[in-house]
Amino acid sequence: MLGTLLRKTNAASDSNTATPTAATTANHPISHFPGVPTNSNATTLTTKTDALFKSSNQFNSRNFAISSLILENISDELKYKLFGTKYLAFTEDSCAKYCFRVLIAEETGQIACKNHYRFSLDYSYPQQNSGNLMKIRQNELKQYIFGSLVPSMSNLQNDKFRSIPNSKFIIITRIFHANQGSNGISSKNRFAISLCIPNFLTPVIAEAWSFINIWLDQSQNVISSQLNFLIKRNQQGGILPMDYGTSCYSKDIDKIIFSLTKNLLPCLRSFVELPRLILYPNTYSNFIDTWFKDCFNWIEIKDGPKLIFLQTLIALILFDYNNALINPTVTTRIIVLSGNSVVANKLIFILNGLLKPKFHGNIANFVKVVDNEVNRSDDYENNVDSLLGLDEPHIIKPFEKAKTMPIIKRNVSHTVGKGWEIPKKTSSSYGSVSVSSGESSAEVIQPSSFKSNNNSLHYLSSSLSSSQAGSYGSWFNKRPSLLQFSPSTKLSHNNDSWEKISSSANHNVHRTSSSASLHQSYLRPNDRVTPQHSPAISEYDEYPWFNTPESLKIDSTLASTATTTTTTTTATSRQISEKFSLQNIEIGRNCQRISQSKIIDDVFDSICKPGESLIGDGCKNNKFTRSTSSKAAVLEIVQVDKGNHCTELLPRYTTYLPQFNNWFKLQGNPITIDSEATIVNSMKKDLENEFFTRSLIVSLRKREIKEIIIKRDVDKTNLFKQKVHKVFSNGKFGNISIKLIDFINFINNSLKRARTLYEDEELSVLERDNALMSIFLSMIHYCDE
Amino acid sequence: MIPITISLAHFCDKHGPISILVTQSNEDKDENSKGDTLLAPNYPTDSFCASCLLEFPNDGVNDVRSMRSIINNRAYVTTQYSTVRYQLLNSIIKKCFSEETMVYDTSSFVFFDSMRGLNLVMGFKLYDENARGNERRYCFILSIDSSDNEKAMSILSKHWDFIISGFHKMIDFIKQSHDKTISSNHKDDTNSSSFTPIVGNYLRSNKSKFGRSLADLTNDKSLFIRMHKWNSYLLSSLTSRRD
Repeated sequence: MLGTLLRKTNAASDSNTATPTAATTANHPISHFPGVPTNSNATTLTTKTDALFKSSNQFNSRNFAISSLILENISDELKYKLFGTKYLAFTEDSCAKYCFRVLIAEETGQIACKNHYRFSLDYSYPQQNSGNLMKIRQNELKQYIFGSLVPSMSNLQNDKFRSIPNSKFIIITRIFHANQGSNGISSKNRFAISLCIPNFLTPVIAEAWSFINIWLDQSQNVISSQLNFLIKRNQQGGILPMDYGTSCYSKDIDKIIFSLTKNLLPCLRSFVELPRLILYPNTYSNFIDTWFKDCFNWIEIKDGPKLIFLQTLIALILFDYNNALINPTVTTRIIVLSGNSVVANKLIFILNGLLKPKFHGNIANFVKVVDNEVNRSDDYENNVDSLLGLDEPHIIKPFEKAKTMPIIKRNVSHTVGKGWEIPKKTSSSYGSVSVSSGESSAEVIQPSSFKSNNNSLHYLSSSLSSSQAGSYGSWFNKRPSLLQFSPSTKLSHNNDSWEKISSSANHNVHRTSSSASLHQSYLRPNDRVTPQHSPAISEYDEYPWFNTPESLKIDSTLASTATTTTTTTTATSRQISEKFSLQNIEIGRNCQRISQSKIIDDVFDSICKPGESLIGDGCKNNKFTRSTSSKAAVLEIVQVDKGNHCTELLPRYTTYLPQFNNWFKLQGNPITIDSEATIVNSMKKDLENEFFTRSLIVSLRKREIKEIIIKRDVDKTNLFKQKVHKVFSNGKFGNISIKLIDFINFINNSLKRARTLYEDEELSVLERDNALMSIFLSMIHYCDE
Repeated sequence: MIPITISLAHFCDKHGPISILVTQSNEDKDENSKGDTLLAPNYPTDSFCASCLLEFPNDGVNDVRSMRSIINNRAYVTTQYSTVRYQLLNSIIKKCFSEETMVYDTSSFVFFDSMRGLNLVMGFKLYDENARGNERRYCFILSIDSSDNEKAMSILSKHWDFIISGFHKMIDFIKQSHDKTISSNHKDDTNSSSFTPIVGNYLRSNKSKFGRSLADLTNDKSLFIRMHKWNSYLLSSLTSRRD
């Protein structure tokens, strides 16, 4: 409490003075109060450390993905699928500056002396603006680091973390003793490594503890390596030098700070900020319905009837990765590489549906049925907006500050509420025109249904490789004229929204990342673009619905090019896309976990019954068990299992990210020249603490499934053995087992069987749901047998 | 299954750090025993002051020393102290109140060492003019008895929000009940002795102060039963979740 009062006083007195940071500590003691030990010699850091830190300052990198900005680029429908809700609670503080303070302290064991402790390092970042953090006095921190003056009798290493009262920070501490030196001299002094960070990171501390532990171990090793030498010189009083961060020990501090900023802080930030996927339970029929529909759409639009890319991927994941991903001892990842975030996210939803651990709890209790109405009203509003202000610019939030994209709705007269719905109005104007140029000045013209529609034919086809021309399936033959969708001139062909947007004012073609050659060969054969371009979410986003007045028109334009048309497929695609099954779930959640507060509130009232007496006549069900010779009497209290708890921590599976994140096990990433190299490098870093790691890389552009396995030789620690196994490439299988081939066939047949259920008009919805669930469960549990 | 216990500890003016209540479940190997090994013997209660003592309802049965609930075939037993982890829990409670700098603002404090395992502590205090410093200090402790730090942290990580919210819920309930009791007593005092000046006993010697039970402070005779039921629910949820 004294520290709090002093801090407030200090804050007032320092209001007109520079914040005492580590850089100024040497000349300006932190404490100016009588009776408070000053640490005027607490070390300053070298310029080299600062330079190292700046170069490794990844956690404040402008490229680091912020969840809110990622979500800006995902439609509501996809949010339901991926996150279970379109409302993700954000911690406002998470957008605030990440600051930290590292302390190395020593308790000398001289209790009677007021200087029984001393700080050898007190470094904070950022040095200019970490005022609140630096205002916490060392004398107060010492109490949280070493505890009371009562000496601990044990020499055990002790780790702890706690919130710092009256501040927005927590302190993580490791207390350790010096190992006995080679000369047999030891010290009773306690040493501490402490890290102060903002308190909104508290919920991820436990999850990230293994990484925190690594950093603490590294730091402890660095300090311990010097202690054996230093103990010989100073057997009395303090052992660590007060100028630990300077002079000959500066390299030690460089290592500690570098490891912190390079590894640990980005990890904590990833954990707290990246939105995680929800894994719907296998028994949730709406999810299964949507999952099958997405599979059918993918197969029809992306793969075609011959290329069993998706089936292979599903089989492989169920066969080999489903259990491996939840194994905490081996790092296993699945990375979807695509130039198109929407396509990648669609595939991620399909894959996520297969993975463990599933949501545990009764999800039906949380379904918000009225949400469809909300969506309809949103669509209605969009429609009204489009009718009232067709040419009014509509500003969306920028993904990055430097890439603000004013969106202009234009000539949008169709009303398609969702990707699964049939357009309600007919119009030849799809207005999917966007213009983009450069960064901040880019303009994107988009349809009004931009936010709620993403079942894009273009997205789905965008990463098709021209080498796969024979495998486009029914969609390719039925593909409507893209001119129908872009009658009015300008057309965007930007990349994913976080990628640089290039101008294409005169293009009439949607140029997508890998399908650019496809589209252009159809419309503009001479205009070649680089395959890196892919459509952003602002581009045309509708499914080419057939058997509508408009689709008839589209069909007629296609008649000349279409060689075959599978009517059953068309009918099925319409039928299975009529309804979007997943509804908004009213579970409060943030990026990392599902809130338990509501459940706790409900259960507490039913269990504890506030206001009611639970003794005497209040609870006659309770009985007494008489005492025995060894045990006293027991009050037996009847308690029913409420059982309505649900999953809290979501697994580290996330959506499409602009950069590879090595702490997440499922993610999508853009295709770049060094995508695979980045993944391999990350895998090699895994091997610093493990012996085996593997990643499944799914490249949508190449239609390739590749497995990379790296092992560390136990005998020769520096030797890595890397193996690349192509499971599927160029429409052909690699060297895979017969069991897996059988399983692929099983998956293929299961999907076909599920499809027939949608074509069977005699089946009731309930019967179909039950049959679908049965098929889904048979796929999921095939490998368990 | 890693053993997990929930304790309510108190810093008694007379006896120092002490446990009021410990809830624990039987281990897998004792599944059929209904937690008999966790039941307390018939110990004398004279050595406990009112603020330390776990009070049991006694409908004609005077020697009740344990409460037990069976949830999903697993027994959850609440006693004054742990019969199977007595020294461990005492060591944890001493560390919380004596070795560490405790803060009673219901913020979380987590510590781990290979001897005491992983412990999450949440401190709170209640106003009581009969206590030293006019405050009675308590803390809830969730102890995960494992020397494997990462496994224990994994349990904490999976249920962080659940545990924190669960502790907060009970502490809020206790504080609200206590506030009601204080305001009710204040009304009574005002009505009965409106002409007597209110004299606090803050500066009185400690001898004139006496212990008061938590049940008395909250005016809730069922409080310890509520705590047992709530702790049992928390423990059963932590052990039965399949995620």
